[in-house]
Amino acid sequence: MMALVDHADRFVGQFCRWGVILCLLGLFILLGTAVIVRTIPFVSISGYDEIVEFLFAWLTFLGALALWRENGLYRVMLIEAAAPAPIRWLFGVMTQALMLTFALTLAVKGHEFLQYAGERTPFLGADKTWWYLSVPASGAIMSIYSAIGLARAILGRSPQSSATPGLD
Amino acid sequence: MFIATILIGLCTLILFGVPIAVALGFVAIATMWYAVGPELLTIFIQRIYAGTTSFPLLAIPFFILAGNLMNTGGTTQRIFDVAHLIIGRIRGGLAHVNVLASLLFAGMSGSAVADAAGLGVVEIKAMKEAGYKPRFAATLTAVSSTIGPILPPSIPFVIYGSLANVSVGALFLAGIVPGLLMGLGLMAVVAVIAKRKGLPRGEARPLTPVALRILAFALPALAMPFLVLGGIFGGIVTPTEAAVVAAAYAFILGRFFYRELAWSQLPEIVWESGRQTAQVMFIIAAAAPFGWVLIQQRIPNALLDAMFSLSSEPWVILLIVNAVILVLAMFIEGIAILIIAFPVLLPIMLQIGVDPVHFGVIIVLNIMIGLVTPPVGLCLYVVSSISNVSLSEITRELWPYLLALIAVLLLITYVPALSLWLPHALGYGVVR
Repeated sequence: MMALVDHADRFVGQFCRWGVILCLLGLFILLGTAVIVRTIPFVSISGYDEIVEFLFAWLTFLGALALWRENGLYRVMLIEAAAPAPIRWLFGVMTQALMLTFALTLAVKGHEFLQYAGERTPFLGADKTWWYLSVPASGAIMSIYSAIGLARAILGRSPQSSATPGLD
Repeated sequence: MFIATILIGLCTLILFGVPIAVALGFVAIATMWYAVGPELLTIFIQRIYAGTTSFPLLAIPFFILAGNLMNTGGTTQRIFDVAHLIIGRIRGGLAHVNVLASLLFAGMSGSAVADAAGLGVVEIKAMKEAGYKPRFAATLTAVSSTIGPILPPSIPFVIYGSLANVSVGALFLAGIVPGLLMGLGLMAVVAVIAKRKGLPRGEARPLTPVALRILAFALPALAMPFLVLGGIFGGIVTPTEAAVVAAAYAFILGRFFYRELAWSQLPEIVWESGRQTAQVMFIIAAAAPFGWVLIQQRIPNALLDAMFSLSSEPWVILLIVNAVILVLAMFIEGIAILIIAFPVLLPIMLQIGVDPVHFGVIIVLNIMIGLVTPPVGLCLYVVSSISNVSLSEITRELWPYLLALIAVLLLITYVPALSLWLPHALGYGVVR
């Protein structure tokens, strides 16, 4: 059972990694092409902004899922690190509970939003569901990680942190 | 009371270790649920998705990618070599080189952390080898990296411009004089320290063939700011497209000119850039429903009234605003402050006649100072980890530089022309 969970976790990690890489490369190619095409008279690429929106949304939410999985979202550890063990336990449980609430809202309300959306993109005529799906899909997997994280926090096992610095 | 609960609740969650994006999102969820009910939460999803669809924000991944490609592809080393060539011979030469290299790097990268983590490794190693104390080298590296996002291009300016609906080009121009003033201020402090402590002079490097070769080899790297900024201000590319051009150029330099970038390194660089982008974009996305809640609850108006009950003097309000952002920046990550503070403070600034471009420079400069102030100065942590110098040692050396940066901040705050004359001179109008 644990081997299966481990396997699924590694699959999510690789999926996020290659998804993010493909989205960023796709954006690079599209925007680069747009700059080049602009210099050529009578040639234009239409509807590329719809694909750009798709790639940027998936880049953001797949990347956020990767960070969620690694416990790498930016956070301030100052008070938690200085607190005594029982308080630290409480902070850990509270943080995981809030993360679970947030992730469940993304998953459940995101799914409801998909039901009502029913839009098509103006130029490509594609179903916008594939664009919005980035929110509930990542939210659902985040919920699973947060549920496990909450259980671990209650049992007093803190998650591995790989927090990375911000980008100001 | 309700307003205080929202704002204090958010700050408490962040300070108690809840991830910033989650804290922003959770406060928005709780407020929407309390004010209307769970049915409003589909708006939460709509807003969070919309937070990722702003075209100007697309510049962020590519400025990050450009910075990472420059650090891996050898461009950063060439920038340092040129700075060394120019001012390495004066007393405390390598310390001045540290500041000048950050000024040059700032014209290519939009991130202070990219400067501290990339250029910082080169700078600290060179300074240690030349006999400088590691804590002096580490502190100066952290402080000089804050110039990066003030001089264009700049990731915080891209975010501010997108949120406040202000021209990113105008913000880039407005940052040039303040960025140069920061550099001059830090160099002045270095000069005083160099004289007092008798810091060494760098080895003389007259115009020898070796020096000329270094310069010639670095010229393509030095051309990058002209390519990026010339493209934007020449009306050839948008800031987003300029970021793509910068990333492409950094790749070409690293792969084909300096030949230090291997194809096998690319997936890791692209992945790391995407990961760092998601770090920022997830906060921005989660802040979108939070901003919506603030406006729905008329919180900016209430704070406007509260601020004017304290004083109606613009200079006093500016002083209070600076103090508030600076204190926040000591504890909370910069992008989060930018996102939280701007919808609250911008109406106040407009009310007292402060140009939004000028305010953009003020708020970003405050955030940059926050990057090197304990206890949550990100650049301090980055530099501490790459230099193996403890945070407390760096903090002890920090104060003269901080005073110089605060002096520049006050100058920029009370002399708007320092930020605004360049955008005005080049045809970017005042937005009121």
